[in-house]
Amino acid sequence: MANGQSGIFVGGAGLVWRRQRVLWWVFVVNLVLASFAARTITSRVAPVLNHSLASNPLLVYGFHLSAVNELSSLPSEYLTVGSTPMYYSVIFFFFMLLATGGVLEAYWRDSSPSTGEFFLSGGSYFWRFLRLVVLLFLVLIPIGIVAAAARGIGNVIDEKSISPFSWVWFELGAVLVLTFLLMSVRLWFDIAEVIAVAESETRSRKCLRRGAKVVWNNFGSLFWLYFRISVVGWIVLAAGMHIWVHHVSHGSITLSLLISQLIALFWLGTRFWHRASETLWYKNYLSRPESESVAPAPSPYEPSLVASAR
Amino acid sequence: MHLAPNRFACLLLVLIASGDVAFAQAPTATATSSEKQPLSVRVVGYQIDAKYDAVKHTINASETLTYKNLTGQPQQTFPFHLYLNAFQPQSTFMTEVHLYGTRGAGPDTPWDPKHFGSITVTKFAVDGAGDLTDKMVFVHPDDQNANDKTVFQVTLPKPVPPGASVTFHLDFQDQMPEVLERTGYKHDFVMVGQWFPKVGVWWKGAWNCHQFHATTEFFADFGTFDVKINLPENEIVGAGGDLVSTVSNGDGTKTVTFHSEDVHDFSWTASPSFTDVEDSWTGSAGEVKIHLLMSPGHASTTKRYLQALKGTLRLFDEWYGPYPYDRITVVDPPHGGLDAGGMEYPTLITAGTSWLVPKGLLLPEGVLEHEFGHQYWYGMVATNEFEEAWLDEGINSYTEVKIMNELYGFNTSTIKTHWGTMGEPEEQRMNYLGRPDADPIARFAWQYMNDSSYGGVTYGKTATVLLTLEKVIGEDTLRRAIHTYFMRYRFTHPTGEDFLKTIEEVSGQNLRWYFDQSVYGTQVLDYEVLGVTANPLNWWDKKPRSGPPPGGLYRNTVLIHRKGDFIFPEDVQVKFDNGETVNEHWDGRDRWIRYTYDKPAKAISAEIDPDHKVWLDRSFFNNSMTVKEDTHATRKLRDLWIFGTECLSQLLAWLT
Repeated sequence: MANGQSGIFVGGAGLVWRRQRVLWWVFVVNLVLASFAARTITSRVAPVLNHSLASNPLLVYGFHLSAVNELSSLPSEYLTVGSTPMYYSVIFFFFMLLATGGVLEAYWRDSSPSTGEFFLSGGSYFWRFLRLVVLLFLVLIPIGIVAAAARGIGNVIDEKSISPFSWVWFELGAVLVLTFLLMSVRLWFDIAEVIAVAESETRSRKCLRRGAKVVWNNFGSLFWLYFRISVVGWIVLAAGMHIWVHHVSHGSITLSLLISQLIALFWLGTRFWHRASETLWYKNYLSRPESESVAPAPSPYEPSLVASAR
Repeated sequence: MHLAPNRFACLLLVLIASGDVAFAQAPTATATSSEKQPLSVRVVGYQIDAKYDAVKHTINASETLTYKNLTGQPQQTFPFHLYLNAFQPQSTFMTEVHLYGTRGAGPDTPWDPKHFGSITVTKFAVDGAGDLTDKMVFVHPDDQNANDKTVFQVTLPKPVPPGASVTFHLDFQDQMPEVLERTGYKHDFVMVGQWFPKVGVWWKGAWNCHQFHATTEFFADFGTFDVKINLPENEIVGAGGDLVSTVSNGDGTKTVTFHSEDVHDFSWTASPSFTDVEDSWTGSAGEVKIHLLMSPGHASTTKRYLQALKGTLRLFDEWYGPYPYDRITVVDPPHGGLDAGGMEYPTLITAGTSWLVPKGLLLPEGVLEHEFGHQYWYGMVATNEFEEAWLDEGINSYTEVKIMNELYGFNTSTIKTHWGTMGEPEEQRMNYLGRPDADPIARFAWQYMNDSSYGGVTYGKTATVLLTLEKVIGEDTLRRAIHTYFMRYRFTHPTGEDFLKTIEEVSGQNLRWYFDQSVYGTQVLDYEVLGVTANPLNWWDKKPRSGPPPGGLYRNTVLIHRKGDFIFPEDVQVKFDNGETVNEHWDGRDRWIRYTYDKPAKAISAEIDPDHKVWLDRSFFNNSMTVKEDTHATRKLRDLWIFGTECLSQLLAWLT
């Protein structure tokens, strides 16, 4: 068991590495669904581009805006694919709702589940986590109100001030505050999900209450953990985009794909790193003498788990 | 002199604190300029004495207008425009904005009282005829909107004989709107355009004085302007004229006097927050003083503006003709006041930027170049914007393409970043592709289908038509034609036919076939390669597994189709797998043409317009066909789509 903050930070990464099978699984599903979403556009533009010399600018000049615009402005509207990416994103959302239980089980037990075990535990937590998502939406409402209010105030500042920077600084501050609030709420719900798995707690609201208590009493250390991992994710994202844009030739399709997928994988991995670190942190927390010890952890992939969830 | 903005701001503060007066322009001796030979036929002479209330945003003024009757016939009725009355909900302008949109506001824009503007003439007198205020009648030459008060006319008791002059005396009050479009105030900034009663133009044997419209507003006679403005002492002023004098009134106000000649309009701007950057440029007509009035937060664009302006001045001077004025004032509207940006007035233009415009995004440069170009196409070659907007906006868009390309690169004159690029020709063509067939170029501006069609056709299509014309007569010939047009028609009111005939004259070609389709018609140009095939000539022989067919020859066929209704001669290039290239020329008249080649080689591609000069072509993608499939571009788009969907999916999954 990892000890101390930096131990959990590194230990979380180690846990993701050791149980990387779940990460690859989810990444592949993400990629496959996105590939399905891209089928429509591929089938539409292929007849136009594959035999036309005018497709060369797309390879020579990067994201050649006029060529892309022409594609979208032609009567056939080759680039009009409506909300296809959103449909596949919603499918991925529900897949993740199903998979999160399995991921947390794997991290909590630090063992590699079989496919059946993975989905078995995922299924057992599905409804609980769905209820948590509904509750999350409720919690997000006041944050949405804060965001709307900030926007309103920003507009007033924008309207009144002759300098653009008054608005810029206000918006920057508002974004930071909102990011802090969103990260805090996500942290709270993450811990609630960890509690649901660690303690086989079937009552979502109880998970949330306990999660709130745990996060409230340990906010500094938990938020610092979450924040540091997020920062690493953002840095890698920025570095990946920089390499992609500045150092990869516009004609290098395979290399571009590779870099884009590495970015997507790492970004997903960052989220898994959050989960793994939070799980480790909670294990650490439970091992403290002053912590509220609850029910003992069930044995790996106990069938009764499934029954209790129903 | 070009000071670093922060140092200049400090200097400005010191000047204001010390009670000194800050002016955007140093006084210049106008005696010499008045002694110069007039550049234009001066029909009008305006003397305006105005007082600006910076709190209420009102102007109280008196105007003396001397009009010289050069119409060749007696004139008894005179129309004037009162364009600030357009900023009222019942006006033709606001109705058009609400129905069809304009550059700063889309269709269905609701009326907001803060945008109310008005101009009221409280006294109208004529030398020798007395007070005729009660003879003023609002007229509506363009529509039946009885509520539009942007044009009035007065009939004098007796006509003004040909060659004689008449002097009008008017008192008027302006209420400036909070800027919605072109003119008005925002914060402590005010852009004062279309602010005084201006007489119409006698043109083609009739008075031409249109109402103020959503897209067009300019047409006036040349003359002189002597304008006095009384305003708070802390205001930094810029105007379309030479600063003659400045007098501190001792009551917290000052009076600035400007003089301008051989122009057809006068505008001015003021703000205590401006930073005045001065510079100069010398061309074939002498030194031009540059006044750049920068708004807070925009200092990072200063160098970019100056670089673009000097480059534009140089190329206009070299290519089209001299810039004869001794000044140019560039106004950078403040944050929130961008609706006053991107405008042209004689020797004063408004640009546009924001606190964050990446260097690779050449929008400030493009706007500035375009507005300066209007000094030629509108300012000096004073065409009728209402009736032939393409002659200023369209020709100007074409020269914008040429100059921006020269200054910033052919493929990178609009966007030049690592992730993507775009050139000016592509930008103009993109505008045209939005509405390629709705309206002909030669159409009254307010009669276009909507704002989108007006913009796409007047700006984008005209520029694209002229770019394509380069293929027909040559780039240099077209440049010479435009130079001739400028030199011949500067300080006059030419028509579209004058422009087209000049091109025909300089090129020595009859181009009616082209102009009839592209300028007067709505035909769409679209040629496509329908097929490229290579079959063994002796096709009945048994096909060998590999190698050349029996007899060694292939019958190669290339099928070209005229998909659109625009007829244009096209070059076609066919390439073969032995490296051979065949160039064809087709008059483009028939609906299709088939080229057949019997060769010991297979055709690998065919391309219409291989030099890529027919910018009017509706689709570049169908202009070529390769036998071999190349999936790189498709895969690139597909991979970007995949990555985007993955990111969206992960963002959504963050909620789980």
